[in-house]
Amino acid sequence: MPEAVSSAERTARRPRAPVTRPAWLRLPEQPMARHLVLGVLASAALFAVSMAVGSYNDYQLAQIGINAVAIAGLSVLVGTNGQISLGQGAFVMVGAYGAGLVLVHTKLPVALALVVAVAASGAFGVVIGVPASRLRGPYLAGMTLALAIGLPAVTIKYRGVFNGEEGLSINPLVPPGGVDPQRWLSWVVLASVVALLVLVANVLRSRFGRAFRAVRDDEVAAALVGISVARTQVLAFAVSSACAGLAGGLLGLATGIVNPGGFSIVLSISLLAGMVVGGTGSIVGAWWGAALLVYVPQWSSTIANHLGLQSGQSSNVALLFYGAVLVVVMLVAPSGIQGGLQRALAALSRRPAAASGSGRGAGVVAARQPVGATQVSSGLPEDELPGGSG
Amino acid sequence: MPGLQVEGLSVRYGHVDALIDVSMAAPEGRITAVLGANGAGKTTLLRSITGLVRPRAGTVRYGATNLVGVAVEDVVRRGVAHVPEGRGVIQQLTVEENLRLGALWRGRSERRRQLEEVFELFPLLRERRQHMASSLSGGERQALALGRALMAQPDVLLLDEPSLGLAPMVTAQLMARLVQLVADAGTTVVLVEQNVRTALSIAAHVVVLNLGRVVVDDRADAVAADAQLRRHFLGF
Amino acid sequence: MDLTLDGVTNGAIFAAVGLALVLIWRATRILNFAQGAMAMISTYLAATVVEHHGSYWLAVAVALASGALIGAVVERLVVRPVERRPPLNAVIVTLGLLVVLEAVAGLVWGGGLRSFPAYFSQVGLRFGHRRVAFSDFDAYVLVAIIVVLGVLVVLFRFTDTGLRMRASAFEPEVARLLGVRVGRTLTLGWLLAAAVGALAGVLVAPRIFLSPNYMDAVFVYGFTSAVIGGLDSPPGAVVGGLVTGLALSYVGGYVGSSLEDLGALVILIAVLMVRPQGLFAPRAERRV
Repeated sequence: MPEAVSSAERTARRPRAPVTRPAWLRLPEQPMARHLVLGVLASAALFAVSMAVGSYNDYQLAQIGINAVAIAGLSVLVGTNGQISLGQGAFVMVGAYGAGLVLVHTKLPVALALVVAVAASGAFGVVIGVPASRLRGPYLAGMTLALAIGLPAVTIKYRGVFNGEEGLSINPLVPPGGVDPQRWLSWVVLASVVALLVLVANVLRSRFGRAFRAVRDDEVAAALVGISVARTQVLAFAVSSACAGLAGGLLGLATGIVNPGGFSIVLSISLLAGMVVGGTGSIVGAWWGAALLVYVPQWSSTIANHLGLQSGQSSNVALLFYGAVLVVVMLVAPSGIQGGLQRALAALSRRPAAASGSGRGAGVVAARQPVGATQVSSGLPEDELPGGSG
Repeated sequence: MPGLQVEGLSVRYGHVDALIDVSMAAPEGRITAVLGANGAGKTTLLRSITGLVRPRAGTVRYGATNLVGVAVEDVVRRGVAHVPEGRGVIQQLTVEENLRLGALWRGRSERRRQLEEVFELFPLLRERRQHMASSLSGGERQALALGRALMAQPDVLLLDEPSLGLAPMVTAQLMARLVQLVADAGTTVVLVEQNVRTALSIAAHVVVLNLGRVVVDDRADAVAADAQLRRHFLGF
Repeated sequence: MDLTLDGVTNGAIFAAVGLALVLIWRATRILNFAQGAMAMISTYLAATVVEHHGSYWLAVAVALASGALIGAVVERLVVRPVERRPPLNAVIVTLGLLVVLEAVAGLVWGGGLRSFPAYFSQVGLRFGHRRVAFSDFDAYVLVAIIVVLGVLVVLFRFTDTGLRMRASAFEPEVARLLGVRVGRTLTLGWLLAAAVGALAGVLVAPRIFLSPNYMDAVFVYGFTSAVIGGLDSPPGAVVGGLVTGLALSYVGGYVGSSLEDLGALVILIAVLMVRPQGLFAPRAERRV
């Protein structure tokens, strides 16, 4: 019988040329250390940026940081774990009110209030995650949508606690010594955000992260190797909502006010837009999306002014832009900015293309029947796979 | 009624070559069997004839037309019927609805006439006409799939493993019906089969694929007589 | 009693929206988050017609026609490219569309509330010496929706087009092999669904006033209805609509109206906990 060696098999067998970099430039192999180093580098970079720019831009940096952690959390849930959630805004709200209530009613330090925000939101994530773990696709999307639309009403129903539409007012952070308050705010925000994201990155690299991805890619297969699908889904929700909680707590500190109006469905949709544009599933991509969310309202105000529209219309222009971005990006570049960058980088470093070709990690080259076998790789588009014995 | 002429057909999925320069002819009014091991490219061949898969090179001549590049729906409307692997019976519809689907683009009276003919050919379908297709057995489903393909009175009939999952006796009946059909209507049949003996017994022409290439293209009686060839490629 | 009647009429509208969602889901396996927004735009167009020409029925016709057109255009341009891709893409695309449509409405017609005529009297009918919370208009709403349902049933069960649509929804590849122009059929499905949605938009506008996001809540309730019945089941959407309408009516009446949205959420979660695939859905098998 003629031997079956297809081109795919030959490529898979070819030894990879090792990519060498000088020792001092290489990042440590071990994930925790690697992430710590990246975190420190990122912090240093952000610190430098913060020092270089004026106080208003510091405020924007803080906003970007807040958005980034919320988006990153969403990215973990949607991108890494494959659960569609339209309710991230609701979790941000829980964190905001959590921290807000602590700051308003107690004398506890800000750090503790933020911890409460993360914990409260994380816990709520578990509460929502349990029923959500039974749902898939559009059912899950609809449930989270209903959550995003319905939860703000609680603050109005229980006026006594939450102070209704007026909301809670938060005292601004008191900076030490002679530091500018906005600058101090941005440092606090960025430090806590980077810290949490380093932890999240570690989780993603750990067996939990692998479980997230396994469940996303093939639930049945994951269950067959002993992964508890439901528990994984709930954990993903918890991680995602914890990130949102931090965002909410920081949001209260930044804006000085926590009220239901700030947590409408628009927030959830904006976070989703930011995630998609930045690159779903990417923590770095979350920062691109976060920046977009901060600058779009400014740009649209400018555009609205140029067009001579009333001031109220600038929000419509912003929304129009968001919506258009969502649609266009999905049609044209579904992997967002980060995806595009990764492809560009890969093309530039000109590594031998893996037989699988897809970004889903090492493609498994599956052997079929030994006689007359053709190797079929995993990255093929569904509609072109040969059916059955063909 | 024209036969089918395939020339230089090449199909690639990603990095994998499923069909490599395949040329074969299905003489008109005859049954041509397409045989080969799993993964040899038999289903791919049928799918590229109908247009479900786009070949990178080659032509499929049907009469004066090249079918490559023509939309699936149009290929079918021109007289090529394809019963896919797994039969493609739509479970949520009734037997009669499945059959009607086979020729929706034809006129009502013509459809009614064809329905009657199909019921003549497969009386069991008439009995079950209002039942859900999901309630049929394997053999009945095959009859339904075949009947549905016949509704359009096709010139060319592509069958992908019709005997799959069927008891030997049912298979024998099915094949007998097929032979009768060809004799009566002069349909050109391309039959992909794993059941080699059965296929050889009713085919006039045989094509054997191996790893995407044609390795045998000959009259059925010549193939059946060549013991070495049979052993090498067909396993008996 | 009043609550019940109110619940039924509202339920009919939710059923219509739910039905539109089910139609699209069955045809293309996509949940159209922009359904409400599409209906909103059609209703705004109808309102413009009323303001300039005064004829209610012409306005309704415009709403239905524009709805159908919007549905067809959206399917062709925006949805077709993502039909084969992972579901997340379609979710985001339809969400993006929702946002775009609401923003456009805000820019074109302004964010303020507008009234929409009812044509029929909205005053409660008299039964003996009691006034019931059921008016001529409510009767018209019910009749209109029942008629639409009837038309759809006839279309799907008894016509060739309906057969094509069902086949394309169940097994698109097999349908192609049977000569069905699946692409056109899908466009038709979206067209019909959008028209049904537009009707719902027109019927609900007189009561809750027109604004760029007036259909948001209706969409959520419509979605709830569809889910309760099971996304694959048109009669399920109708039953789900009634259930949702009645439940919300009772929640609003006995507990307090500000909690209606939350009420929908609770109902949704409750149903999905018990039967994640909806009440009327066939048992789904897990293929290993």
